[in-house]
Amino acid sequence: MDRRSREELQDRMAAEFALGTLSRRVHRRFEARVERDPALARAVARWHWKLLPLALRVRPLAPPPALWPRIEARLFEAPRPSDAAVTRRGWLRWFAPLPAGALAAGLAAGLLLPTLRDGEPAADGPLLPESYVGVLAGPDGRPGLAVSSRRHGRAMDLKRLAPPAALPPGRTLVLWTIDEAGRVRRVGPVPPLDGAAFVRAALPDEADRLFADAVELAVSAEAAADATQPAVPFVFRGLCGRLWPPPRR
Amino acid sequence: MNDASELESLLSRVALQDRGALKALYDATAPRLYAIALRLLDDRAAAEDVLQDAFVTVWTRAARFPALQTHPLAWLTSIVRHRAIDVLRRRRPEVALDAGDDESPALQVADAGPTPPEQLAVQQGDGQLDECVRSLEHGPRQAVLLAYYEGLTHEALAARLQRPLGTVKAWVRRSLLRLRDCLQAV
Repeated sequence: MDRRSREELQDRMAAEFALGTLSRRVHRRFEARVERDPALARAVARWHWKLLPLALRVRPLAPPPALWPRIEARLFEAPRPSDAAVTRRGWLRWFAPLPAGALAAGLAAGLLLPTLRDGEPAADGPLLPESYVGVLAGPDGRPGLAVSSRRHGRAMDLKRLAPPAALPPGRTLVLWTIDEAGRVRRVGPVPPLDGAAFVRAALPDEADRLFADAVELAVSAEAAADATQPAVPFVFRGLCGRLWPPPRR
Repeated sequence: MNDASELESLLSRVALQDRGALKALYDATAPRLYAIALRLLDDRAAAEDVLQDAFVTVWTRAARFPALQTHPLAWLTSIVRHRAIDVLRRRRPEVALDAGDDESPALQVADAGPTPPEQLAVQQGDGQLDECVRSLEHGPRQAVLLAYYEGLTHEALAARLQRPLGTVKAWVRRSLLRLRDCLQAV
């Protein structure tokens, strides 16, 4: 099947997936593909957008007042673990499990490397050495911080992408990874990011060992530089991308 | 309809684990989302559960929203519909084409009366949508609307509309193509 027909078939399946007409098994298989493929995820999202007017025809109906407290209790009621003992179960209650898969390369690649847009490697191979790349958004939703590191390196480069927002004084920025289960792991402190230049910081270990399981990266502003759990809300957060072709299946 | 940029800004704060932003997002969108879930599930308790699950998903996956490059309300609606259809699939096994008992859904279709989606409480008329939907022939229109509002699979549609599976699939495909071309992206 040529590329054009394949794209059309994919778009048709994305439409049926968004509509909900696929049989259970096909639906589940397609769902797994959507998790792995950023371009497919965008196609499905486009169809949800196309079908949105149908959703808007339904007259809104206020849910029972007791519903929000239930949501709050489920998400926020976990007592903050003490600094001394951070239990794994504590994390899982804060960040409910995320489905598997990393929609990683899409945003990062799209913003920094036009040649790698849509996850398609350039015909003559990638232009950059194997690297981890993250483009993290700030509170306004716009890219605020770029983080990158060679896959086997022990340093990371950070670059502010927007004028610095007021950070609480006397705080240290700390980088964290978030894996697919929602577990948060500390990477290390981030130097001050006042200027527009790249800032290099050492990593406590080889990048591959720190970021291999990371789906997202996040930066928090900590009162104590050695904090073992992040202060929320985060200052920056975004997907962690990988800039090397995935192994062929 | 809520201002898209307002919802987007709430979502980016939710991505940073801002609880107040999640509450604001809930206040702004829950009535629409609840109504959609209720329409699909026809069961208030189930709709409440779906809404709860949906907001947990929003809380944990808000950081992934920008990469989808889509409208925030479309994303929220997709989470709710997806979850509700999940529940439907588990609750109602695929209806066999020759379901013949008294409770067969096919017997509930009243050709003379208004089709179910037209009985919906309709908000202010969306001219373009109404026109696009009206431009569909009766069979394809019924198929796509039943699929959207009641979450029926091809097989269930075939049983409900008493048509062969192939016909129903073609109807849905035709309607989707027509809607794709007819509804201009804003």
